[in-house]
Amino acid sequence: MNGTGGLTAGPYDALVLEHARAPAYQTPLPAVDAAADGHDALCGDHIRIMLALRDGRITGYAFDADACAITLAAASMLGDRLQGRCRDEVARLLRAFDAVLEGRDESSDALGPLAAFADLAKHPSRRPCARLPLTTALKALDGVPSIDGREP
Amino acid sequence: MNVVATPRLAADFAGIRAQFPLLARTVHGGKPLVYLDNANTSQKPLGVIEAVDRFYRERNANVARAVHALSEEATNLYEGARSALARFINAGSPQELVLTSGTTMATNMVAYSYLLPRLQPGDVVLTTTMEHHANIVPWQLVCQRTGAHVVAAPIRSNGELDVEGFIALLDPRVKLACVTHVSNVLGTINPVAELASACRSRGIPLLVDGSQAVPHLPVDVRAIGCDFYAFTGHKMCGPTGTGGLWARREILQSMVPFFGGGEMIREVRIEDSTFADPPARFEAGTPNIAGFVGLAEAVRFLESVGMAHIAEREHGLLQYATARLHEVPGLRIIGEAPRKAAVISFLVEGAHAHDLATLLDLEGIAVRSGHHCAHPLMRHFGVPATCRASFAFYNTEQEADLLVAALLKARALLA
Repeated sequence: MNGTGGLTAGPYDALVLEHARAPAYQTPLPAVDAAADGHDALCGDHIRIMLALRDGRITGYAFDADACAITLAAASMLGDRLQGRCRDEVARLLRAFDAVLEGRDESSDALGPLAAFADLAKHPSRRPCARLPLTTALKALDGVPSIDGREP
Repeated sequence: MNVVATPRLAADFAGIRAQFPLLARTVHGGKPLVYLDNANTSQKPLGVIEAVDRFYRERNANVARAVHALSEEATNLYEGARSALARFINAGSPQELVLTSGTTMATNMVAYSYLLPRLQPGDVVLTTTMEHHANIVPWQLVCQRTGAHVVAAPIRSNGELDVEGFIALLDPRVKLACVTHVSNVLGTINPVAELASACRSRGIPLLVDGSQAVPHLPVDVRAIGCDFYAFTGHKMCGPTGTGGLWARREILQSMVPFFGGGEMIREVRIEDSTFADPPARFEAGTPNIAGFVGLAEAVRFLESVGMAHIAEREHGLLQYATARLHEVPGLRIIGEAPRKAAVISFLVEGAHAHDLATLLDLEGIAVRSGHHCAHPLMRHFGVPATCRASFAFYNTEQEADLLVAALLKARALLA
């Protein structure tokens, strides 16, 4: 916000902008086991999530997106969060993220840097942008047997 | 032309703005609101707000159903709104104006009441690449039922309609041609009278979507020479859920009802019914009476300002804002037709339209971002979304300055 003429940055905090400007996890995976496309009808954003899996757990993550800063940052932050997780754990991650986005919970350890989107509680119209990478990852895992054994 | 009796001087626009209470509010902790989303919906002057309030306090009753005093008053107000709107667009008679919930209902009504019974496999509905979804999707729905199909006339790279291209597509398979009077994304003002003349000489009816024209230009449906003219009330200082479909009387007479229910019938038996004459034939159920009372007041307000003055004022704002926006590095305007309404769609290199809109919002500036319900147009320009600043007569040059200043800041943040 400083050095930008005092513009109120709202959801664009330093961490979000850092990820949006130089997103991680854009290097193609050597082999893709599951993939899905996500589209935000409001923004026109498009993202493709690619996953490598071993025994039902995520071992590799990459994305390709033509999207807004919120989606790019969320997709970049998501990479670390997904490592080693199975489908039901990703579903739980989405629920924890929704609790933050809707202002019901301040943060959760599982979310890590994704908690930086807490300001979107004040901007409901932009929540789908932050959710798009995670919902698309879940879509990619559709049909992958869960090995978690807990309630999804 | 329906330009009005007691036009005010351009200098009065500050006083006119003061009649819009919402424009005085602040957002995001005290930032003065800069409302540049007028193509989405306009703000309402105090007279309109009070007319709706007064209706519910003093006049509320259903229309055309009872003989008591309140119902007579409500009916007179509702029919008075029809007359005011008919005069405003220079319809031949109030009976040529069907009151609808807006343009979307009007185009759907034409699709089901006029077009569907006439379409045959292989027929064509001609629209254009710059249309709002409300002037595309209803035609697709009835085409899918009949084996007809929708064809879009091309546009030029500056956002102008390719008039020759449109006319070249007017062949005998075309059962209805449709065009927007003013593009909600590009601001392009289409030469609707020229298109109507080309359609008429080929015996093809023309529907004009006037959603973005009626609030901003003097509109004369008879001078245009089209067959259908659809418009919406909430973009012209009236309440939401109001609008109209004008059509020539003989066309309305030839149309079958779309919605069935009370007030649109002459006689109902269990086996079958006979229907009222237009426009009642197309107005089943209790209408948005208070909304139309407010819309009638909006018409009186716009007439008191004068549509020619409004068009002139908004053109001045368009020129000023366009010049100022060109000062933003990396800003590209989508739609630079020579004849434009005060709608400016733009992109800024390295910044997504939604990020810009959120950052502008945090500065108190309301613009729209996204596809503007015009996917085919977005695809034509190869962009997923644009930012759109749309001005009304109550906006100011200072607000355009604030937009530019906020864009410069947002660009610095996102780049």
